[in-house]
Amino acid sequence: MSEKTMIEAIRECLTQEMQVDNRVVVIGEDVGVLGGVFRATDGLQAKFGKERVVDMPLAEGVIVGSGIGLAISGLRPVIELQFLGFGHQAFHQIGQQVARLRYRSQGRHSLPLVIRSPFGGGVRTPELHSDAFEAFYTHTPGLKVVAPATAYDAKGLLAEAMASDDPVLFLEPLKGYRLTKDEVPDERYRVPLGKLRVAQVGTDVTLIAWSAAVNVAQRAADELAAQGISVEVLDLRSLNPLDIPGIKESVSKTGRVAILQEAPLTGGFGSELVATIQQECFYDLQCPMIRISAPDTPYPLGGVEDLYIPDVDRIVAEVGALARTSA
Amino acid sequence: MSQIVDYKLADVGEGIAEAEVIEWLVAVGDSVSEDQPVIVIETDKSQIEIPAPVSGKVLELCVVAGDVLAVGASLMKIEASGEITNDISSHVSHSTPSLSSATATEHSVADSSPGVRATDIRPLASPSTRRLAATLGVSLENVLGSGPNGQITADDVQAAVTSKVDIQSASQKVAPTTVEPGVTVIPLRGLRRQIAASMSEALTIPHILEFKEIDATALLALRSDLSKDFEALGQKLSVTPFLMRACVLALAKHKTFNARFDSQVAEIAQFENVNLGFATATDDGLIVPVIQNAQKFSIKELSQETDNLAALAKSRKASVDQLSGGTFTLTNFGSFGTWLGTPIIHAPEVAIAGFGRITEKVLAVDGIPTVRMVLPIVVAADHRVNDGAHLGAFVSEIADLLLRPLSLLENK
Amino acid sequence: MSISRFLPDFAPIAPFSRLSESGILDSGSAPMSDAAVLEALRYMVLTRVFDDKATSLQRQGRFGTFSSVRGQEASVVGAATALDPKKDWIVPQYREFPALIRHGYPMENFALYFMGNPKGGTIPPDVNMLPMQISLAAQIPQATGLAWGLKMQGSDGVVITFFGDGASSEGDFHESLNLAGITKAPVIFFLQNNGWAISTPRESQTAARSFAERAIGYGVEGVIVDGNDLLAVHEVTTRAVAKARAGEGPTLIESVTYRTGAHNTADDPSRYIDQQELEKWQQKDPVLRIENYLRSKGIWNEQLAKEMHDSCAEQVDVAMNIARNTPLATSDAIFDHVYAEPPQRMLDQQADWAKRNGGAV
Repeated sequence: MSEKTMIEAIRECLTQEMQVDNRVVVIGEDVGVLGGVFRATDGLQAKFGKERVVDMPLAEGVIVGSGIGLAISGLRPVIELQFLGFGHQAFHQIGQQVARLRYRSQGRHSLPLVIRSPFGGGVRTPELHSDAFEAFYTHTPGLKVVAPATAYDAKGLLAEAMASDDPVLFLEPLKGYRLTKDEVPDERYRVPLGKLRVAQVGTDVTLIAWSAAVNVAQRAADELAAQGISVEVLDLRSLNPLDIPGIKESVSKTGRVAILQEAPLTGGFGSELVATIQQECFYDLQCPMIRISAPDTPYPLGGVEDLYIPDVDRIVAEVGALARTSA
Repeated sequence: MSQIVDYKLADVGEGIAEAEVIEWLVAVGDSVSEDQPVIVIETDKSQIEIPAPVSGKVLELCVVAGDVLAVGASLMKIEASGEITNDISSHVSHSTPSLSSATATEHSVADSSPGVRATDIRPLASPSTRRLAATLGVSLENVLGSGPNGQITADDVQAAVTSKVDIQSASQKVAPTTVEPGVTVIPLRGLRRQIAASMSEALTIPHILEFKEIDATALLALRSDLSKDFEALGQKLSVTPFLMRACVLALAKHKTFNARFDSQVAEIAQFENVNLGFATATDDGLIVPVIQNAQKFSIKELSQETDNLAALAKSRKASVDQLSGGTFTLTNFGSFGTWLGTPIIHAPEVAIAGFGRITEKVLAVDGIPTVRMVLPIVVAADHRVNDGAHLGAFVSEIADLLLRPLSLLENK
Repeated sequence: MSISRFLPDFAPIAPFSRLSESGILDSGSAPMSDAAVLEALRYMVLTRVFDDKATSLQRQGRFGTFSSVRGQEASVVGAATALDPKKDWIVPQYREFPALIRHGYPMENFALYFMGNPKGGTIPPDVNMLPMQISLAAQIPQATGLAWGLKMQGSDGVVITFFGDGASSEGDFHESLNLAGITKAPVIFFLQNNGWAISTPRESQTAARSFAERAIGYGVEGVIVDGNDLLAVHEVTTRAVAKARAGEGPTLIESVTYRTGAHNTADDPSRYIDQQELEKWQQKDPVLRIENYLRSKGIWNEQLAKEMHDSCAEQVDVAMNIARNTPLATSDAIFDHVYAEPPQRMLDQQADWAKRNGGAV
């Protein structure tokens, strides 16, 4: 057990899993010699060779598409999409193919593959590198989507995703790669899909977040505590499958819900949470639910990024107001 | 056994809405074989020959050249000469062809449920507050909201339960309106509505009843003696406090009747203390004030407390505590002249004792017919909690106490 | 001073063929035994019988939109007969019925699929194929990855993927050729140039002189063959298969043929096809051509033709009856096989649907 950054945790997971299972191969742009633009796969090619850690040509479509073929041939590919924003270049292979091949073949073909991809802002990237496009993928039945917020969960969820016979989109928080640090066991372990984590226990408001937003949520919760408002922060960890019982447990306790979402408002994953909660917990609600999200505009350049993503001040103000609303 | 296939026009070209009949290639009475072209149609994409789905005899041609058909229209009827496979079994039913441009199913004009009119302004309240109001039997239409924009808060609902506001009781008397001659529609509001709700709930309880007639001569004699003290104070002593005391003492020995039953979790909660509710008629309807810890009250105290609470209830000034928490209820329908009734248990309690009008009757006393004062008793119990034998013992206990009324004066 | 540049100024190459238009073999030896040719012809006739039946069913509303192989039978069967179903894989598009049947895909499943029953997509466990692909060219990267994976694991199986001239304009085609060249994946890219992508003629699809010569751009060998010549297609594919099996990498085969039917049952080709051109190609019918070859060898006649036709008709009927008597799909067909481990929410939905629609769950 030691303190590791998220990127170290991911790298450790890949190394350990590739060690025990020869069928695991890593493919993507710059994953081999360079070890990944964020060094997530650093050292893997030296350890496991060029056949198992492959620098792919700059073609997201065939990177994902050939990954499908590798999976069908009996391997367990871990495919890196360098940035989720460029997933659009491979989206037809993901949405039409990865998510559907099992169903199309009535179970004949399993796709035990993982697509790893970083997303999220706060790091002044060029256009499209930070976009939070998770909602496109959560609306794709057949594909599981997970988004850890801690280094511990990153290692455990990645191992679980790699062991799954269903294809999993594994979303990594760009900003959190190096800034997120926590205690991570040295041995192999797994975190189950479909279970949220209560990042902080509270009684007055349920604040739901995932990925990099969890950290922001917790900082806001600390400030609200000083105001006498007790916020329960839920780290979803898994978007599909979604931990509905876990959400219900929290909402039935607090009766007030705020959802934190880096992505634009309309049609974002927060919309699904609001719809689900109102259906499952309507009579627990003391006031309307709110979504604290980016506006309905494309992700802007770095200069105005801080005005775009919900920050601590905004969350404190909105959740505070929510807590004070009459019931 | 041959089957008749009602052959309908299929969508032959990805979204064809209609087609025109160009010509028939067969006539009624012809034999056709499966896949043989039978009709030529034209769509906006092309002219197509449609083949027969089965071998058989043409019974009927449903359309003529020049007809414009919608997808799903019947083309012809064929008497099949062989087996019909699964995939065209749906064509075998004699259903009428569906119309092309989907005639929207007519939506019935929004019904207003008879008898209950919507209020002019919908009460503004959060879901959890609505749930609270429903639980407490508070009707939101009659609650004034103290929140923003007149929103009814949870506190407002709590206050409404204990409210002493005249506006409330006045507004509960909703004037009956005359809709048509001979018919008066009275919407269920306020207390009446709450009573309706609790009575409906009580009906889910399986009631068993035990009836007894008791020689109340000694009881009445005792009452008569003690009432002198009361009259000196300007108060009246009725039979009720004696009945209450009898119930309280009997409950001490039969604790299974002093309980509350939660059917959701299937748990019975038995109580040491007796919180005795007594049914009280008011102008607005039946209210059940509760004497907390009734076992601590003497007959005199019971009498005073009963008068007190009844007055509060009748003026709708009783507090929440005075109206809730009961573990057993007593109803004296004798007081309005009824001989005997079938009382309804006040959920979530598990039993109720009813006392009828005391009348003169001829009883056998030591073998000799004698005129005595007779008090009818009926106790109803929740059969999920107590059986007939238990009930019999409980009622016998009450009867014994009333037959030896001096025992009621003993302190516990 | 001359600029180092590449221009397509080498002379255009004629497609490789072995039979004359009337079915006479050239001076070389036959690349297929008589028995093999008869077996191949049967698959071609079977296809034709099935196509006719399927088209009729579609007009009756019992089959969904369906694409016949008409005119391309030699192209598909010639390639398919070069494969070993036990170790080689087919990654199809949707116009390769005989290849799939030969490879082990049950005909009744094929029929069920076009009847709209998801169960029709079921591929038996030992049949090495991917399901039919509706999204054009999406299967090509998958074929490349599959071949690459087989090679990585030391298998000597090869992968053939079928697609058309239209599909080859998609990005997936180019990305796949490129990757196959880099990885030397044992994959055969079988491009059926049938002249049309619905109504778009081949000339509007690319300015390249031939599809086969695009391979050069990816460092891959390209071959152009007369797709209506069963023997030529078989020979060329056999060589590509052997090359791939020996670890020498991928081949792009352009099979020049013609779609004499419609693009699919929703299409009316009379609106865009030149009638004379169609008739010209109908005279080069691949079934007639190979029958003529067999006739020239004295091993074919009307009687044998009729027997083969009847036998195929019977085989098609059997499959069709199985398909048509299969119970109609229930709501479970919407949910089964979506996940290996379904999320609870989906299971709840499956139960709800079953309650409302009389499903089994």
